Amino acid sequence: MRLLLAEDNARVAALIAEGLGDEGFALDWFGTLGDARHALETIRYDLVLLDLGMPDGDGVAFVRAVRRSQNVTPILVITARSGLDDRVTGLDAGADDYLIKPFEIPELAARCRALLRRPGGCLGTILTVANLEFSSAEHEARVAGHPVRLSPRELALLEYLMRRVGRVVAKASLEEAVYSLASEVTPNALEAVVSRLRRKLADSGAAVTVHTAYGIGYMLSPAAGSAYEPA
Amino acid sequence: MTEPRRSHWRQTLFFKLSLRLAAVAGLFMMIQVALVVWMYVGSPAELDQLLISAEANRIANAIAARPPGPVPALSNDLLPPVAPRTRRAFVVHDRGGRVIAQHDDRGLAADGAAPASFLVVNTQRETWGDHFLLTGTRRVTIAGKQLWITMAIAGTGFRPFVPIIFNEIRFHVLLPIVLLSILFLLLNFSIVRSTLKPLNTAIAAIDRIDPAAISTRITAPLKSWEVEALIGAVNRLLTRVERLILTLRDFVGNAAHELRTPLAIMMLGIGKLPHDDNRTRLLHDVQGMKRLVDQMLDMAQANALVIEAGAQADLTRIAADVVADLMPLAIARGRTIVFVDEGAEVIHGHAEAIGRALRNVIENGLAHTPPGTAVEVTCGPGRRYAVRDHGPGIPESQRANVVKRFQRLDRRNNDGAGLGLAITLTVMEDHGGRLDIADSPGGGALVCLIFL
Repeated sequence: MRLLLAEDNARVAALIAEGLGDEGFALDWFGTLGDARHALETIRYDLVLLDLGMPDGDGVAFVRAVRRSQNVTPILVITARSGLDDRVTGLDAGADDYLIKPFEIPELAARCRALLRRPGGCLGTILTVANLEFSSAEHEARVAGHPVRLSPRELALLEYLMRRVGRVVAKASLEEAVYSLASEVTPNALEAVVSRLRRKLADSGAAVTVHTAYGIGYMLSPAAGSAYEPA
Repeated sequence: MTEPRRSHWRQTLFFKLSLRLAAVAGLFMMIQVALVVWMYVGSPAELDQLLISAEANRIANAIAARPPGPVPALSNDLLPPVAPRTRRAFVVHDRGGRVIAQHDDRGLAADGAAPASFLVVNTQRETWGDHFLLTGTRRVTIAGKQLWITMAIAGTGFRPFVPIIFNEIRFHVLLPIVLLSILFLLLNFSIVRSTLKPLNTAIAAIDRIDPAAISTRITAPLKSWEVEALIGAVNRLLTRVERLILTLRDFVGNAAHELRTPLAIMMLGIGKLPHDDNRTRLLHDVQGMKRLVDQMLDMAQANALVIEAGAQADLTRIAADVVADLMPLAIARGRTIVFVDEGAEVIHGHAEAIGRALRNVIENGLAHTPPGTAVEVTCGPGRRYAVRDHGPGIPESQRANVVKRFQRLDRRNNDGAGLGLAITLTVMEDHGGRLDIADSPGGGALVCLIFL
């Protein structure tokens, strides 16, 4: 995983680089948009972390320019700007996610992982939440190294939830991920898959919980009391 | 609002203008008097005539007042002379040349002969040293009969003429000028009042300015250069005040914004510390500061909210997004959020702002609902949200206070700045909506956001 970080504050950049390094990401830091653009043209990055308020230009314009050049590298905007329309403007320009300063490394890492989906055929990603692992290459879930037997739908559901760990995922998105467009989705089908997944994860001793957000969707997070619980 | 204009009428422009105009009238009168005095002093012949005429009039009046009958001599005490310290003698003839009254005064006698011509009306003066002797004849008409009064007046100096001058002033200067002044002041009263009317209208217009609507400007109610100048000045002042307020708002926004980078450094730095109680406490403190900064920015943005024409806000979708966003926080704190969709509408509004308004209410609920309970968020029916928690509720006496800025029910709790519900209220007001606080049936607070 190679990440590009465009951030003008050296201290913030160093802390992010160190924090994400501990999480297994390699990170190249650039202090100006010019340098970042140059690097992006010559090296293939998996993800761009972009501060909007750079000394040599506007980050939103940078995002637009990157997208115009047919570069589809995911862009995560990291900014101090939280104006009412800033988020929408950033996402409309072509950014994939928007994170407002200040933040903690686990949250940034989780967002990076969610964005690091790779097209099939490429080397897979290993997603980890507490003692639960998901290998997208092998299409397999493991708890403490031991494989868990899951159906394709349960695997699809788990992967989707693990990529958005700690965040509520709407039912509609999950249904889209778990069922192909052609198949009929009965109102309780998703609940049934979730409930089977919960039972299998519990049976295998996974230290994660699938929470129900009533009326909205589901959220996977490390179980309360586990060492991975976010502060 | 106080009305100092009424209580201090002496301070009114109206009073001052009237007073000054009255003073000008008074001055004018004095100048006139001085002018008259100067004029008479400069022409003694005129004074002589006036003195003779005045004396003749008095004698005539005395004769007219006398009962008809034989002609007794007029006694001295009955007819003191007009002029002080003079001697005066007279003879009154009728048309036939008969003497009908005669009066001598200490050796001064008027010429007893009837006037050579009854048409003669004359005045003569003889002067030797300080002394003067005036003689003259006047024709008067009493009860239809014509009489001739011939008199002599002897005296010294100027003093005898003072009453004459005074009389002249009284009848020919004071009376007309007093009448004119009264008329002048009355006119002045209405003229000044109608002239000042645009000013009063402007004052009323300035009073009506809503302090919250800082972009308001006033317009001149009537054409008047001074009032337009005043209104122009007030409008320029309003512009400066607006700029100041906007600068202040910007400053709050910018300051909060600039705080985010150092906060990020602190938070990331604390994240590197070994896991222990200190780290947890520090992290908690920094999160409190983060929330404070967030709320200050939200408040600044809510104050400056502009809802674009045609902006659409899907209340259901906004609520679902906010609940999804807050769920991890709720779960981390051992609470949960239940979302109930009762069919809310799509309204004209700023979706992001409404989302932040709702978020503050839910965060408030999460802060007060006990562990293991849920905050229930109901969207709809129609154009409303209802957020219910299972905490102690908000006492009725405190409900007006909790929506004020920097107000917290529990001062020991230092989560946030106490701006949450104030932000919500501001956003609701921006949308022409309202925020209702009530007790929910089973206990706990029930906060409703109702859009118009």
